Amino acid sequence: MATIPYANVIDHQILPVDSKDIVTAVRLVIAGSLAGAEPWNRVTRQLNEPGDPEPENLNHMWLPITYRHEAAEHAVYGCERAMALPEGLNPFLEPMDVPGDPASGDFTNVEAMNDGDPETYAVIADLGSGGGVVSYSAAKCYGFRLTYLLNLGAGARTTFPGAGTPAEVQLQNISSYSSTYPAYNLLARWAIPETPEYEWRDLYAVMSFDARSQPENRDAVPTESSVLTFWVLGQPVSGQLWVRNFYPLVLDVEQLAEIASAQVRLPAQEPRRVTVEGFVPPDQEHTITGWPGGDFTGRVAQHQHDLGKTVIDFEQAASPLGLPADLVEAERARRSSNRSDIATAAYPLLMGQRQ
Amino acid sequence: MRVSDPTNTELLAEIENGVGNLLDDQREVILRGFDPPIITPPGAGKLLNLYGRNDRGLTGGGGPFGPRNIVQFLLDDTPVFWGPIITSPPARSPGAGPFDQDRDALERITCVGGHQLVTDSVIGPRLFEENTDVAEIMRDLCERYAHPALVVDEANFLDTGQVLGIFYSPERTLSDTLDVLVGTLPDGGRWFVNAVGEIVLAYTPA
Repeated sequence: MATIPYANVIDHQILPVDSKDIVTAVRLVIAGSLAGAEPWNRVTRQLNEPGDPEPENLNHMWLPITYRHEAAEHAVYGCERAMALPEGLNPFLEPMDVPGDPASGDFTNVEAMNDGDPETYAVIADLGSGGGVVSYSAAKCYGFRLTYLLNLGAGARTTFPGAGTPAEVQLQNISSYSSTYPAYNLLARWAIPETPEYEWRDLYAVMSFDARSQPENRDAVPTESSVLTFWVLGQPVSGQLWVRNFYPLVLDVEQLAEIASAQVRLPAQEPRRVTVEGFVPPDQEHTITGWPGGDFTGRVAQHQHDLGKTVIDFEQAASPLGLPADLVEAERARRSSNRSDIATAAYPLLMGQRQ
Repeated sequence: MRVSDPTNTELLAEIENGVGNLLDDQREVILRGFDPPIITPPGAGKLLNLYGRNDRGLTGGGGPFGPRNIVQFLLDDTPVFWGPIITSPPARSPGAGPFDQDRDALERITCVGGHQLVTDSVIGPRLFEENTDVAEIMRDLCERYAHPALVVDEANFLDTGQVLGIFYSPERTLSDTLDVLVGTLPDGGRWFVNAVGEIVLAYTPA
């Protein structure tokens, strides 16, 4: 931060307040559609009564996985934006932070499934003696990660009907409403095949809830929960299952809140342009001492350097030196229009399948 | 001209011939002039520039031309433009004199049409699974998700006769969604925000 004496100020002028692109509520879209490994079966069951013996089977309507942040100013301005999560960010909790522990009596060292240590693993040493199951149900989740090695000896296999594999992951995403109906149960199933000998396989799968469960469509706010289960069947031949990772994908709400709140854009309060003598190194904030009415400290939006002087825009960037404001606004309107066209064209990518 | 807060719920100022109402029935010139508003058929406001001071008119001081305040502009008592302020002088700006180098910053107020507020609205996971008229879908989405300053009146969404069997487009802006929906109408159509802030579907079947 530079401290600038008022005696060095050549000129200062106020700037107009720009409120075209303000954002007061942010919707981070984490997954607009199916992502990762595809389930072999995915169906939404509509339960019309308690313990419905014949629920209706419906096509799953993907509810986008989003995180919404609303600034206090949203009640004043009401400007909302949906945006994709920045590339490269993991929106889910690390395995050791996931609520709850894997529940299983069939695996040795089951706690290795979510300890985050790549060197440890849970194991069923002899599938010929029986299979196993492990599950999570402590928190709402949006998929799973599985890192495993499944080797079977030569001969016949016992497989899950439909999946055709000796192991399967099931995820139930449940939306219930106290004692009112219908309720919705999204059931997705992934086939887990054998792996080549001594070759680990790493699997990510993202799965959402059903859009029918939301207040827009059901006139009630659901209670959402998940049950994630990994099954392996006992085999007529010998075989082993090793699992380095098996844990649910639970949103890292703290990280998402930070990212979302950083996208909020509010109008500047008192933007101004100050021209000072000499070169002032760029920084996020500067203080001008001796300013009439008291020292002035402002957040820097833009720096421009000219012969023997520096032009500093506080709180909001204004037009470049020598360019009239209306030309800059016309260019900004053109770019905003292009951005809108690109966003419209890219909508299928935002909402489409990610691998 | 009327100026309201960004949600169009509180009237902040009424200005007639440039003269605004103040406290204690005092009246003072607070608007110097305006550029003719730009409006495209069938009545969508695009741009309006006003020139005035922003240090008079409100209880406690300051002027009514704050960021995103809603301007209802009338000529001969006829509404001709409605939209939010997107460029405004800072609060307490006294307007510009003839020798002010920054007169643009001191007194120009730029408004865009109500389309901006439709772009600032994002729709949620509303699902239509049964044959539904396009106008009904548009009205339902506007009622649920439109910016609070906008007016959604059933009378502005007359049935088109075109039905969709399924419609689901979450996390899209309301303006893009309305564009997609009017694109399904066989004889073309358009939507716009009129001079009193209502979202209107303009469609005439062949």
